[in-house]
Amino acid sequence: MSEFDPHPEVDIQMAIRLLQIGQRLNAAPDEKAILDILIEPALAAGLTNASLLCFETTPNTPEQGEIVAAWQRPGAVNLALGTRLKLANRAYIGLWNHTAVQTQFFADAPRDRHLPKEWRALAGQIGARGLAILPLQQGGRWIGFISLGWADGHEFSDAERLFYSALPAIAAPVIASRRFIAELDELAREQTKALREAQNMLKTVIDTIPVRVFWKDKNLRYLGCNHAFAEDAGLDSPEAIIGKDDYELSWAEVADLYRGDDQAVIESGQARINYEEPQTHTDGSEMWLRTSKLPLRDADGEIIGVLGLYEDITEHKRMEQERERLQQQIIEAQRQALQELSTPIIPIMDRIIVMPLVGGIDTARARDIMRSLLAGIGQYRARIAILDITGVSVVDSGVAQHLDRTIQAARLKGAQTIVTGVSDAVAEIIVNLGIDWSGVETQRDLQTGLVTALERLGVQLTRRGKRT
Amino acid sequence: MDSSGSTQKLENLLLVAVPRDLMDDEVIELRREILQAIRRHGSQVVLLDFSRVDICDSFFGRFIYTTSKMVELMGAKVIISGLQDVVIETMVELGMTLPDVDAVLDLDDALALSRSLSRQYNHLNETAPPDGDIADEE
Repeated sequence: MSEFDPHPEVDIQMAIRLLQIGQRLNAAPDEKAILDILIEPALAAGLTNASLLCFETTPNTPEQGEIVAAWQRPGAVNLALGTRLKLANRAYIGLWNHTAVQTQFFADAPRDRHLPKEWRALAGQIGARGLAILPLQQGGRWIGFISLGWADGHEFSDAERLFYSALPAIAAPVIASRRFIAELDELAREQTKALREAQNMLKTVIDTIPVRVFWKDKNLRYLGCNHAFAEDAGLDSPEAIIGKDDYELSWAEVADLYRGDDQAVIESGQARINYEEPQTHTDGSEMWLRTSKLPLRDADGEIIGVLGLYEDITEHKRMEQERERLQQQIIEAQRQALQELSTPIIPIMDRIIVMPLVGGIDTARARDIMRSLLAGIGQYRARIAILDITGVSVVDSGVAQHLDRTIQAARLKGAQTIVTGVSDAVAEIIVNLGIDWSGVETQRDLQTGLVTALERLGVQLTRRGKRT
Repeated sequence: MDSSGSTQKLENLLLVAVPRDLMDDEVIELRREILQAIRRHGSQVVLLDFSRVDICDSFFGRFIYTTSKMVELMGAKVIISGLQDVVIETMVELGMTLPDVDAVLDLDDALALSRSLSRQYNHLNETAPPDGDIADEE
């Protein structure tokens, strides 16, 4: 049995040094410190610059990385901290394909045909003729690499090659865990920030909309509300409402009404949308609301409470009522004016009145005409009433019946009626329609009607000049 | 002056103030009173004044109709006056238009009508003075 010695060529001093580096790495506060520790041995070998590049994400074929730590001798060029390198897959494949995770050494990188074109250009750009590329891999994933550059070219000794090749193995876990933790922190920060922003936005929205919003648990205790609601409830802030119920708020009087609706929504699982209800306030004022209530459900669809929204429609309602009242007033005024206009009574001589009728005569109008005529007869002590129908637009059996009733009413009041203005067309219609007007005294026009009326009263008109 | 509370004689006119609420038995009583008064005063015209009545029911039309028929049989005539507008409206509505009864506006018109009637009567009988005032009270 031979003695266990996997790498007989390893210098024990170097091994100790690597161990020490490993220990120091664990204590390094950041990537820059890590890089400084790693390159310390190379400084003596005349290192010009070094950078630590980490891939943003860690896929197996990374494309984009960022320089997270850099070091260079005073006056030397290097990639700046934060520089992002976008490297085509091809470049990595070309670089790492055959060599897997081994460290690569180039005595004159910009001219070395083993190096892909992009890398040769990069090496030229940072002034690293001598170049060592230390690939960092952890858990089977690429996490980045370390580049060590010598501006004037470098011949790597065996000891150097061995040493640099050993570095990734102790550096990668430290860098990876640091990156991982940093990523987690960042993620947590971002999510917390996003959450807070979303919450703030939601709060701003529900405090800004002109709608009162509240939500209660299944026992109808408040879980929260917006500013406008808290104001209506007579509270200083929305937080003050948590845990209260409606009996403790300004509308305790109508609490049962509200709670009944809440209970119905919770029990049925059916929302009630846009219904109107009153709300009383501590100062005694009353508001009208347009309310909607919806069941609140958890992620499993279980009802956990009720969400309520309402708008103040007091002003709207008041205006509506005012508008209705005004409209009613106008209609009433117009109706009155129309009635006065449409049923005028003209006393033309002692005990004779004339009522000219214009337009259509329907049942309502006929009633107005009758009342007006009866009142006129009483007022002027009329014995003869002349109804002039010259202006009546349509004469049919309905109108004839209405007029007949009016005439009967006038008779019971003690006045005779003469209907005048029966044109030839109207006479024709009345006969053709079979309307019986035999009991009605009719004349063709107002003039003849008046003569008839005077005869009835026994009044005779004589011309003054005729006597002489 | 008449002994009764609701009938009154004026010239050859018998004034009857119809009470506001007319019950069935009161109708009969009032009618008898009227008929007796006609006989007593020899009235030619009976004026039923309705100015106190403000409702119109089924008794109403029947009272006027029967009274006018009975009065006619005694050779006199019924005229009505003072119907209120609302009452007239209801009557017309119900078709209760009393075509055989004359209506006058008020007492003045009633008196004028009765005078003209008695004038005609007297003229026909050629017993009364040919012209001028109505015959004196009996």
